[in-house]
Amino acid sequence: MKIRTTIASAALVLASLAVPAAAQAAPGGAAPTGATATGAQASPTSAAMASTAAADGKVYAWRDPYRGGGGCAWSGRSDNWQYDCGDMRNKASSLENRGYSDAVNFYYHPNQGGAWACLGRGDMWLDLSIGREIFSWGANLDGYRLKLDNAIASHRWVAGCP
Amino acid sequence: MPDRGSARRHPLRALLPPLAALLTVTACTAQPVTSDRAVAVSDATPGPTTGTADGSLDDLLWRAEQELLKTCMQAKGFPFWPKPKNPVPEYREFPYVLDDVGWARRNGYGTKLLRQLDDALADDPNERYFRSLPPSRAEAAATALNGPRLTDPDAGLRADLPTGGSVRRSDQGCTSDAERTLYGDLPAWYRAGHIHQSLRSLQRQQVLGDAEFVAATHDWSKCMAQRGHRYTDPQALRAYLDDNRDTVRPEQEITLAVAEASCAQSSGLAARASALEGKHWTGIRQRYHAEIDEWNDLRRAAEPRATALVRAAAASPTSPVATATVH
Repeated sequence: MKIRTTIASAALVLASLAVPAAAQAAPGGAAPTGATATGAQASPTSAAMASTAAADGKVYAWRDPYRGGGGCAWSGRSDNWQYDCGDMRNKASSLENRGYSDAVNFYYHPNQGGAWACLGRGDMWLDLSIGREIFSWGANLDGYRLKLDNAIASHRWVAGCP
Repeated sequence: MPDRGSARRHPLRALLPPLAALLTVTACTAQPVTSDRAVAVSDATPGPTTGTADGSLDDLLWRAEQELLKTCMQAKGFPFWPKPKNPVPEYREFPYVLDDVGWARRNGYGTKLLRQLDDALADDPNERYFRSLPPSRAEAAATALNGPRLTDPDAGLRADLPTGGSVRRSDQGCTSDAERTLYGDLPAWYRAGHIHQSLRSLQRQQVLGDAEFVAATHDWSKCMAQRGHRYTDPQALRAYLDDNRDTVRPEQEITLAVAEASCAQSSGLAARASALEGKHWTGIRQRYHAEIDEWNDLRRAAEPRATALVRAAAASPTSPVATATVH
C-alpha cells in the first residue's frame, strides 16, 4: 500500500542519516522554565532526530508528508519559523501535536499573525501536500482558507481548539 | 439535590452562571480548587454561537474529562491536575466584530490577555511537572496521557473534515480512555467533535461572506470614519493591527477597540452578525444533520455520566499526586 511504503521508506531514510548537529541543542534534558516557555522557544530540536524519538511534549513539523524530510520540534512558542532548525518557514507538509496537554495554533504570518489552523492534543495532519487542510480560523485575515502546506510561519500553544 | 454540607462547593454551582474564584495550586501536593468559569467565547471555547445554550454542558463535559484524566494518570503512576477550560477567563474572541464596549475599554483587542494566556498555559502545573521530568520519564508520562506514537496509518482515530483534509490521532492513552468512558464510542466522538469544530469555522466563513453582513459593515465603517478611523470592515482593522503590532500603542489599541465596539452597536452590525450566526447555523445543520445529530446525541448521553463524575470528585477530593494505594 502506498502509504505504508512511504512511511517505511521515510523511516529508513531517517535511520540512515547521521543526526545533524542542530544550531540550537536541547534534545530533552534540561527543562525550560515557565518564563522561557512564554517567549519564543529558544532551542527547537531538529526533527530529523526527533521524529524517531517518542513522546516528548513537543509540536512537530516536517518538510515532507508522513514525517519525512526532517523538520523541527518545539516545546514553546515560535514567533518565526524562519529562524528555527535552518528555516522551517513555509516548508511544513506534515504536523503532529505531541504536546503534553495543550492544542496548538499554526499561523500564516510570523508573530501569530494572519489566519490560523488549530491542531488538538495528540492530533496530526500527515499529508498537507494534498492541499485540503487550510487556515480555517481568522476569517478574512491574510491567508484565510489558503492551504497549510508550505505556508506556516509561526505557532503558539492554546488551551484547546474552538 | 442532597446538601453536601462541608464540601468545598456544591457541585451544581458548576452548572450555574459564573462566580469568580481563582484556580490555585500552591505546592505539588496542594489540591486545586476548580472555579466556576465565566462562559467566555475564546479561541479555546466553543461559544454559544450554535444556537444551543450549551456553554454549561461544555464546561461540565470538560471538567468530567479532566477528572477521568486524573484518575487514569494516577492509576499509571503520574500526578494530574485538572486544567481549567479557560485559563484566562477574561480572554474572549470576537469573530465578527468586537461588540462589548466595556471589554474593549478594559482590554483593547486582548493583546495583553493573549500573553497572559501564553503564561497561564506554560505555568499550568501539568506542564511544569512534565518539564521537570527526565526524558525517559517524560516520554512515559506523555505516552500515558496521549498514547504511543501512531505509526500504523490504518490504526487509530480519523476524522475527515467538511472544511478539508483529515486529522488523525492515537486511540490509546488516558485521553482516549477518558473520552471512551464519557462518550462510549470513541471513533464516533473523535469524528463528531472534530467535524463540529470544522462546521463552526464554516459558519464564521458564511456569516462574513453574507451580503447582509457586508452591507452592515458599510454603516459601521461610516460610524468609524466619523470618529476619525478609516476601515472598510472590522477584518480590515484587525489586519491593520496584525501588521502594525510593534507600533500600535496600548492606548491606541483601546481607542480603536472602543470605537469598533461602539460602532458595532450603533450601526446594527453586532445585531446583524448575531442574527446571521443563527441563520447560517440552521443551514449548516440542515446540510450536515447526521454529523450534528451525532455530536448532540453523544454529548447528551455523556451528560449524566459527567454529572456523576463531577459530583463524585467534589464529594471526595483527592490529591493530584499519585499515591501508592490507588483504588
